[in-house]
Amino acid sequence: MNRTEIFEKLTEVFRDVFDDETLTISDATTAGDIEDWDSLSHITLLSAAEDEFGVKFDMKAVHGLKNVGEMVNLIGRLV
Amino acid sequence: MVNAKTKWIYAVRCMSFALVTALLLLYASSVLSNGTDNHKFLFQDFYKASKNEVDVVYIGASGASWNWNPTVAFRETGLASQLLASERCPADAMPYLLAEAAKKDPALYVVDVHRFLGATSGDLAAVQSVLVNLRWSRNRLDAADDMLENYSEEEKIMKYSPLYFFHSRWNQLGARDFETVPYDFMGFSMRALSGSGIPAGAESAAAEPAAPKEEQLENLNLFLEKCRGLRGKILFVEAPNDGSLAQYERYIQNLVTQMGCDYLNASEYIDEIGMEDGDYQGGHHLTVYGAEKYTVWLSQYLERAYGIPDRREESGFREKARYEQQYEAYQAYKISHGVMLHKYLESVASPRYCVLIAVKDEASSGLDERDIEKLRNLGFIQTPAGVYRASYAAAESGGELIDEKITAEESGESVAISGILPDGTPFSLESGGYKASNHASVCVDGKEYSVNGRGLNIVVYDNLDHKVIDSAAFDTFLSNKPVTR
Amino acid sequence: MSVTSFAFFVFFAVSLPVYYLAPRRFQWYALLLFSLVFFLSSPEPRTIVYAAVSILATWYCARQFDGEAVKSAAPERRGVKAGGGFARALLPGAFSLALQALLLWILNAAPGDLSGMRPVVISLAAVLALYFLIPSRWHWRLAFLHSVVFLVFCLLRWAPGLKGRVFLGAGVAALFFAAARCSRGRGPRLNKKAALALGLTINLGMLAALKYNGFLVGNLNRILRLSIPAPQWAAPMGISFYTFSALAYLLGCYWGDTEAQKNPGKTALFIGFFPILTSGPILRYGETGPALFGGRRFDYKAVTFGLQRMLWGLFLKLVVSARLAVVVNTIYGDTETYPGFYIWLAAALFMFQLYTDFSGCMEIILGASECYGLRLPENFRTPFFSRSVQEFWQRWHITLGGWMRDFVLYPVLRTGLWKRMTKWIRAHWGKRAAKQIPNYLGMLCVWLLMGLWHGGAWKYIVGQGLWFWACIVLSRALEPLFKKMTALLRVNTDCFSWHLFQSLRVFALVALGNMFFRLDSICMVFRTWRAGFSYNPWIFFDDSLYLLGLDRKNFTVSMLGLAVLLLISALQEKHGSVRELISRQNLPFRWTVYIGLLLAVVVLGQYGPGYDAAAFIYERF
Repeated sequence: MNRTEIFEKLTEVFRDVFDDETLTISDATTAGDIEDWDSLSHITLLSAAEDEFGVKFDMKAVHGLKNVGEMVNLIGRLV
Repeated sequence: MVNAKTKWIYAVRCMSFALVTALLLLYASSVLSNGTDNHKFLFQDFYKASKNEVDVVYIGASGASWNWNPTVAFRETGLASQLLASERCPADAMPYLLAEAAKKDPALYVVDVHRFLGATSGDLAAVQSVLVNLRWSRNRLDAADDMLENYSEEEKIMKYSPLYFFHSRWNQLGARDFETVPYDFMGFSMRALSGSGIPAGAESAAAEPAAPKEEQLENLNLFLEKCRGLRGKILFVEAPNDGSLAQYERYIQNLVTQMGCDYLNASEYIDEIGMEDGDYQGGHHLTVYGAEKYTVWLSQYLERAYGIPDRREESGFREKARYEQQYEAYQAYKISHGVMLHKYLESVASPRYCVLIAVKDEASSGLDERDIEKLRNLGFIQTPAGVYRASYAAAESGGELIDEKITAEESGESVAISGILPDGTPFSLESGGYKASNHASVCVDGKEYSVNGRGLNIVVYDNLDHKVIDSAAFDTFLSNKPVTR
Repeated sequence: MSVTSFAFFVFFAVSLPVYYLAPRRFQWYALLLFSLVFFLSSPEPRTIVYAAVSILATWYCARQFDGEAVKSAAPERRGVKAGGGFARALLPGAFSLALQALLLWILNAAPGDLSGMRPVVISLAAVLALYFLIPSRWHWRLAFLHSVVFLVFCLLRWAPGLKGRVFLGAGVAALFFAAARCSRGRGPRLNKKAALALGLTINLGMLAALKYNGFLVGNLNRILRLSIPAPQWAAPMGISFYTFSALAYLLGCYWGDTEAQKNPGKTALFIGFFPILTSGPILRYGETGPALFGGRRFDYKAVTFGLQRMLWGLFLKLVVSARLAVVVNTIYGDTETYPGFYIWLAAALFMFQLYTDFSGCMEIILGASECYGLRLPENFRTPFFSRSVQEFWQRWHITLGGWMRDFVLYPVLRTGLWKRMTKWIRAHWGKRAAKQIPNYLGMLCVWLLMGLWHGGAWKYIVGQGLWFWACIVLSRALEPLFKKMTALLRVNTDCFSWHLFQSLRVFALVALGNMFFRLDSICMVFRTWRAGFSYNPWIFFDDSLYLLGLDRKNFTVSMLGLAVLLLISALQEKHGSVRELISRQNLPFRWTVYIGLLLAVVVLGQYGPGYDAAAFIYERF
């Protein structure tokens, strides 16, 4: 899977979790940029991403992700 | 990076900040240290006094500062003395007060025996009253350790800073905390302005000695230990009192005389002192009038028995002016706050004062023999005594009558007098009994001074200062003659 | 010792210069020594043994996550000749001899009272003999065992006083020293899961046994109808806080977030750093750990800012909190005489009392740490400006909330059970429910633990746990409804008045919840709520507020204090650091502020005879 594909799929996941079909994300998007992105939706997001891509993040990753770009990189490494 | 110059700036800034803060805290603690009970100015005077201008130090608690009047002592016999006392001073503090007194190296230490029989250190406020006044020294720390022995660890920190105790007093601050107190006449307290009864006499000298409590004896022994090695002599004195602690005082008398100190029981001499009703407040306290008599008697005794010099004629005695000024102030205060009629009349019987009296409503019922006698001493011939609801106006100066007018009993007539006081000031009096105008007026130099209360309205004029120093109304209709000003 | 006590003031004044005069490499040793002294100064210093066991277990288990477990011992020094090795080989023996000599001293009543030299010589010789007989690779283990024996004897021969504490301290230090030498050059011995289980058991077990024994035994009695008496074991100072720091460290190492610390002394410093022993914050190794060991030069700005912060904390605690406590105690102490509006007043004032007390203490702790050059995590961020209860708990006791989120919520939500539950719910109740319900259940676990953390009693679980969980869940579940209503009523949600409304709403909910914290039991709370339903608004106008234990002036002082707090909080919310703000003003203004604050604390502070200033609410944690 290349980066663009991961990015598209991830956008779908985001739109699903936050219930907003018009949502757009970029590599620099952080939790502060999306209104509903709090600690709970963070976990929901990660679980949904895990299901979608069939990977498993470890706790180190869960705590360490700072923005969407890092998430994409991590998925890319695990997939 | 911090270079050397910045380091210096920081250091200087820190030190100045610390200095400013320390000064403010010192000021705060000195202000908060004021209390009506601790005689802050007394102690300040003590520390300021020059070593060779203090011959006698009188140590005790309220018994000392209410009974011994340094201004009167100096006035009458030229005795230079200093009080060292604070209200309800704990017995524990006595040895340390002695050590402080020794700093002025007096020829004689007069110690109020009653204080040794008081509470040791149960009253934290009293403990703090002493601690807050003592200057920082080994002695102060020792005193603190001794007095705070039975208190908690937190309370023991009080020995380092008065603020630790007084931080809860901030909401009681008043004018007195910020300005000089008018009635600290070199430490003499004007609290006891009235009293009745006569103290116990020589019979207390015959009481069977009984040992006081162990802590009290401990203090006494510590005190006696500190007495050794002092240049001055020690005199334990017992002011005229009610004899309630006579047996303990006898015990102490035996003990101290055995140790080579002197003991004087003033109760044996109350006739010589001239104690009468109105001189004694109760317990071990005299009124200001009694204190005057006691002071005069005791200072004469001290000069005789211990050769204390008369400093009045001494050239170069710097305190002289102060003693005199304080004496004046004391007299004026005594008069302007007097509450006992017969003592009041006695205190204004001097060439210095003019007494102007105007009666309103009724002034005869409460007058008794003593009052009449004192009025006669002032020069009044008739007095309102025995003439119910009469109008009466009178003026005298220095014992010489200027004028006096009285009407008959229940007369409907008012009386009026006018004239000139010895220094040329015009005055006019008007008096009306109940059935007459029912009004009293005393005008001096055109101004109205009378209180216009029922009974005797008295206005006292000072011939030397050329002003009215007091105006009071004694309600002589009632037997307890309450005073209004 | 309490951070507002005179003893702490002296301790701090002495430790600060010692810290900065020490060479940078050894500054962390100084901090460790201070922590030891601080711990030993508590009324029951024997509890340091519990803390020592906890720390050693955590350190040991964390090291097991470092690489693969090795069954055989790692290669150790061969013989005593390898360069400088002779002295090093003698070290365990010398160490043991020293311990033994100390032990003999303790066992004999007075120093120098060694009745006869024979037992001394025999025991020392025995120790030496043991070292000769045992292979050198076990020397340090023997030394460790010896130090355990020494510590046990210190406990058995414990007498309150300076001597006992010094020996205890020496014993703990010896234990750690031996443990450090023991583990040098050795790799992990246990498998990861076993080490994790061991670490968790020891830490949580100690916490449960020492802090919750009453709760557990009480409930056991109630369920099984027994009557076992609750054991009266004293809990070590700050056990709730340091245990959580230790667990954070352990789990962090397990998950690979953190690198395990090899030196048990450094681990001890991190877990048992003395400022946190009174009331937190809960530290995270990643943030604070390395800074603790680095050491730093004297920095004027850090020290002065730290001192200013401590001063502010003292003001909050001694001037405001202590006064509010008087009023709250009076009202809650007698709800019959003070019904109706008094109750709600007490609830509100209690919130302020709790806040000024806790955050005041926190300011002192953080200020003190800043004086040492360490920035510990903040625990409060103007919580009363929050717009929702959820936000409140992100601004109040931040480190605890963070800990719960990272170590309870996330792990729970990512377990297989939860994932299966989510799938089931999605299948049966729709996507919407699947997004919300698992989260709520996860939060329930968190909040039950939060409640339990605050104390071993049902009132805490209900009042500090379930109540807030219910508030948060309801606010989330009803969010769409609220959005519709505000749209319908054309409410402007972007203005000050709306923010104020939200803040007041949060305040009310939190104050109600905290009534469970303050009052003795759940029944008591319901009774008090019932008492609160009388109508007496006149109490605010007829001076009866001045009859609640504080006279007019003191009451005014406390209100003024709250006003100052509001001002500072507003400034903080808007500008960030108020100290920075003040430091930019001119000197006379700055000095007036600092000296004014100092005078306020010294003159108006409630301390000294008659005041129980040391009774800090969170101190029993």
